[in-house]
Amino acid sequence: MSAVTMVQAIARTLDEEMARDDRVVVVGEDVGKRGGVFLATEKLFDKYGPDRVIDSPLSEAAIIGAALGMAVHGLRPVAEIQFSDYVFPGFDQLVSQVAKLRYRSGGQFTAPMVVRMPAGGGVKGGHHHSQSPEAHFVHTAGLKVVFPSTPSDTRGLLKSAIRDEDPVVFMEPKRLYRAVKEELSDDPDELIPIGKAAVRLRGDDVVLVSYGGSMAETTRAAKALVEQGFSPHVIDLRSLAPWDEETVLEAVARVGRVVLVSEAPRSASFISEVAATIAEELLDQLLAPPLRVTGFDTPYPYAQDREYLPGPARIMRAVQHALDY
Amino acid sequence: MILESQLFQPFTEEPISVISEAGEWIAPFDLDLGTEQLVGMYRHMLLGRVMDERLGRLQRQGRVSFVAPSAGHEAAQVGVAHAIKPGFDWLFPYYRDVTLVTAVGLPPVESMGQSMGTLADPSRGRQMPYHPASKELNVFSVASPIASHVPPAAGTAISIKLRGTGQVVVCTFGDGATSEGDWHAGVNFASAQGAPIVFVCQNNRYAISVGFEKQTGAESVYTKAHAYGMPGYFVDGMDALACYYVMRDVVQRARDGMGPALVEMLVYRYGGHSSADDDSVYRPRGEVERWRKRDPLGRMRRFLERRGEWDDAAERAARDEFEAQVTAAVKEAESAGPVPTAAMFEDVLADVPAALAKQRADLLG
Amino acid sequence: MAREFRLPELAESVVEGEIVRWLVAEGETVALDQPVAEVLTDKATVELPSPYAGVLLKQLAAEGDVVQVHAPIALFADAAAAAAPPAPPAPPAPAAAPERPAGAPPADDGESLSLFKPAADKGDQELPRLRRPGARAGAGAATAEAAPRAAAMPTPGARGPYGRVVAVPAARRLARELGVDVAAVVGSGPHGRVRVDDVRDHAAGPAPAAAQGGLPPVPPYRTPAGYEAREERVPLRGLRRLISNQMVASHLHTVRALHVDEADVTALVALRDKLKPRAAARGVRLSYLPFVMKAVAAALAEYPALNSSLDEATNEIVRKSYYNLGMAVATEAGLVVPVVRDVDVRTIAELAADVNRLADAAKAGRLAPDDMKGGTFSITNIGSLGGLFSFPIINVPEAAILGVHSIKKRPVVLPDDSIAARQMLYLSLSFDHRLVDGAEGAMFTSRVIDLLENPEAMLLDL
Repeated sequence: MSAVTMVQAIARTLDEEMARDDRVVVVGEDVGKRGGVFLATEKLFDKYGPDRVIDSPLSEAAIIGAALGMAVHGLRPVAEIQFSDYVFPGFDQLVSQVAKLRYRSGGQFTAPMVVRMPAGGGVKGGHHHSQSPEAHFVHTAGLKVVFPSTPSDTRGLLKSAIRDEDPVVFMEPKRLYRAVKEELSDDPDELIPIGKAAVRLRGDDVVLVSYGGSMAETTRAAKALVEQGFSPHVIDLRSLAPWDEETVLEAVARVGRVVLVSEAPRSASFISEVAATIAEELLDQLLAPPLRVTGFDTPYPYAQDREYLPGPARIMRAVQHALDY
Repeated sequence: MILESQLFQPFTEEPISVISEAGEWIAPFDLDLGTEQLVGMYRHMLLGRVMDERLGRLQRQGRVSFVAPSAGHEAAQVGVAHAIKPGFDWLFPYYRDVTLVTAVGLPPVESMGQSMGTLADPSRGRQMPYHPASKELNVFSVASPIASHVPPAAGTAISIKLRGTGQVVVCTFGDGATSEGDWHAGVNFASAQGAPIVFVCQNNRYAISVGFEKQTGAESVYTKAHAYGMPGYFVDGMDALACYYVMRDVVQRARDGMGPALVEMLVYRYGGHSSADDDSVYRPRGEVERWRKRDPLGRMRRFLERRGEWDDAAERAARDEFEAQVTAAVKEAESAGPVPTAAMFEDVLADVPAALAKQRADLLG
Repeated sequence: MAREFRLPELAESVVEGEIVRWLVAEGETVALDQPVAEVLTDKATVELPSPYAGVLLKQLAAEGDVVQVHAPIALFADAAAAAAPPAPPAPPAPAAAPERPAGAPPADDGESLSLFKPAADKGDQELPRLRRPGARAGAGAATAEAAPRAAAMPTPGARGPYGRVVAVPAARRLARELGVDVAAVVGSGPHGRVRVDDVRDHAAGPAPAAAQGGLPPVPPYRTPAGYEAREERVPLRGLRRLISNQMVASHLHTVRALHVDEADVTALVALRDKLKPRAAARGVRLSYLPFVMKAVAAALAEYPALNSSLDEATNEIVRKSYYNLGMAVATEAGLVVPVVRDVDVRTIAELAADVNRLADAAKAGRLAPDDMKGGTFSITNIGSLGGLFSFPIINVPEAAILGVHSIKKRPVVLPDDSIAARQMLYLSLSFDHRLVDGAEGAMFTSRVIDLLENPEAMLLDL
């Protein structure tokens, strides 16, 4: 198979899953004829028709809520929210209906569905096209949350999400949608388990932990560190709820220093949870405090689009601080 | 698409009735229900009333923490229940639908178990009272946020259409729900898809204390159906047979693939919004008394008595039977015992995640 | 020097473009903003304006090549170009980047339709150069210096605002495991923060560089329960601390050996008795010490090893031809060792006067720092307080110290086997076995004894 971008990987994965299981349907704004504003559902409408690729009205509450109703009835819906910034009109559906259905019905009703959304900044989109709201979802019991950074991980995780019996919020780093092309495997059942991180680089000096779009800057920082003679250990979390505590704690226990990177606003960011867990479990092993390199506690700015993001320079300064501690 | 039903016109000025306050048949068409069905409907209404009264007593005894009184809603709820195929069609009720879910077959012990939070609750004590769920009966789990069940109801109806399973969804709610964004989102999506769903508003003209005239600028709920290209029916919600007949019509219409409808049933809530509400603050006693005279049980009973299908003895016997049945249900629900603490950690996801298992271990050792 | 022309981001970021056509040949002169090439991105072909005025030296991509944004496509000769924009550095390929098939036209991936495309990457700006934290400057807290007499100790246990020692968590845990009091460890981190290596070094103790293996740590002092009120704590400071450091240094840096002998000083006693009033007439209190000093100086001349020092920095033995003898004086504050200089060339009377002066000054706490410098050998005279003999601590960097004890009448067997009561004096010589062999030590002592037993012999060297 030729190499594909992340967004092409999404379209291909949806195609494969819809072919495999005719309960899988896609619902959202512009997903049908248009193929999605990012072409994430390209050509599916032509292949599967309006009964399986449903153009919805402009209502995130309708999209998410109706997806739940479909899942309850026996379909496997993959709902698309056009930008993560627009999940909020449907937030109550996600939090009150989707997340709590299994729990509140004592397991009688379940919600096997996926809610996909492009997230993150670096696209000159300003407040409402750049947000990273994953902390809200992680903070809601009953949802699984996934945030890949590569085309192959996107494919493997989306397959797992579609086949999962629980609702999965599938966050996609939109500024990496076309950044990289990767060869994908031919195996239609090659899944990546939800809850498992990937070690991108093994090292001994400092552990760098990140996910989603920030993996790009983290990787650049790691490369610069290697060129300067340091040995970073790089972990791509890939899943946020649940997240791979074992892989992270093992590395930090061994190395003693960790820098956590995420473009989401700093306060109550998801990586704060990772930092707290590291401090709770590994205090005696730490040679320096867990450090966070994050977006700022501001709405996402337009003009300072790139400065907002935690770039390699900021990451490296944090690494120096950890080394000097 | 607005197609007229067989028996009824949508968008009537006056609410549709088929029996008078005195219990006379006043519909232009013939009654086609037998004694068994008619008495069955009345019995469901009476059982619902008995459950409502009992739950109120249990709450005042501290054995149930919260009640949402449904006295006054029986005709509407029984009319809906008898118009669908229980266990086949889907029901998306709201928190005041005790009579409705009992009439479709939810055993009183499960209702009581749910309200008391014991192991008799098939939902395992997860929710506050008046939030039933039954997978067996296709009764969707009630959620507290008002109107939040409407988009899922629409989704299930869309799925029914796509999969061709022949079912109909009935989604019920109060007047306040029609102001929520989610209500609009769900009704709108269902209408765009022509899905087989009937939206039923039990309009008791109060959302807690907010009167209908403050809830919306619209004259009434049913008129909102115009905005969605679906027929809206205005029904006397204290007339059980009117509710039944209109529902039978629109349910069949939906089942025939002609899309959704909105039915507004005018009812009156004799109790407060809930046990946490003092309605004397916002409702004049005179109004409540006036509506008491229009008790839906009274009207249906008079109708049956006129036909010789009911009398005082039957009333007493039925009451005793239901009191005993409810007493037994309460007893059984209570003696089922409390839900164990460990159950708090289950059903969040299909499997207990490792981090949650650790939290469980921290609490329980 | 050539300047690179890199493919710019042509339309709110595309990631690549195809060189359709070069508009300028290699070697041609180009004006600023003159179109140099046509590039195809998405479905649009755009002209690239030159960022420089000058000569296009080399085309780095051929027509038909697909080039990544920010990759160099041409080289320009350095010219007096006005505002040549700085070329942004190429972002390194992300870790998962695979091979891109060369020459393939960019697929229609919806870029043109998409409202939001990745914004211009400001490139890697100026990335900081990190430095690995250097080898720590100080060694552990108790490492002794070469000249510890006035050693200023680095302060252990930097404290935070609430009085807690500042230490990284891993260091605290290691300290617990090793039984080290983290407050006693000197931290090498910023703000005196104690780090893991600091604890390790502290636990290993102030061993010389060649020391192998772990010394057992100092057991921390713990007040026995119930006795807290009956303890008083005084900071280790001042003279006491200096002495303590001195003792540790001596103990650890010399290989101390002891040689004990006795002298029959009956004749010396008689001599001193005779001379005492004459000295007193000159205002000098005459003790035995000047005689001992003279005897020692003479013996040192014959056995210079005991008058030497080891310069460990250069690994050299320093032989001295001067004889400055330190005399230990007990004071209220502690033991001090003022130095009597050039004992070999001074008279007994002069020595006595100096001894008096220094002893008085010491007891009054009026010794100058210079008074205690420059000694080559020390004598300690605590015998006046009791005891038979001792094992004195060498006054480093000296090679030896002679302990002189009390003169007592003892029964002694004389050469003719008769027993007489004689005035006897024990001498304890501690010497550094690195510099002085046992034989030397013995012979030196014997020489001293010889002169003390036959004090008139010193007249020969007056």
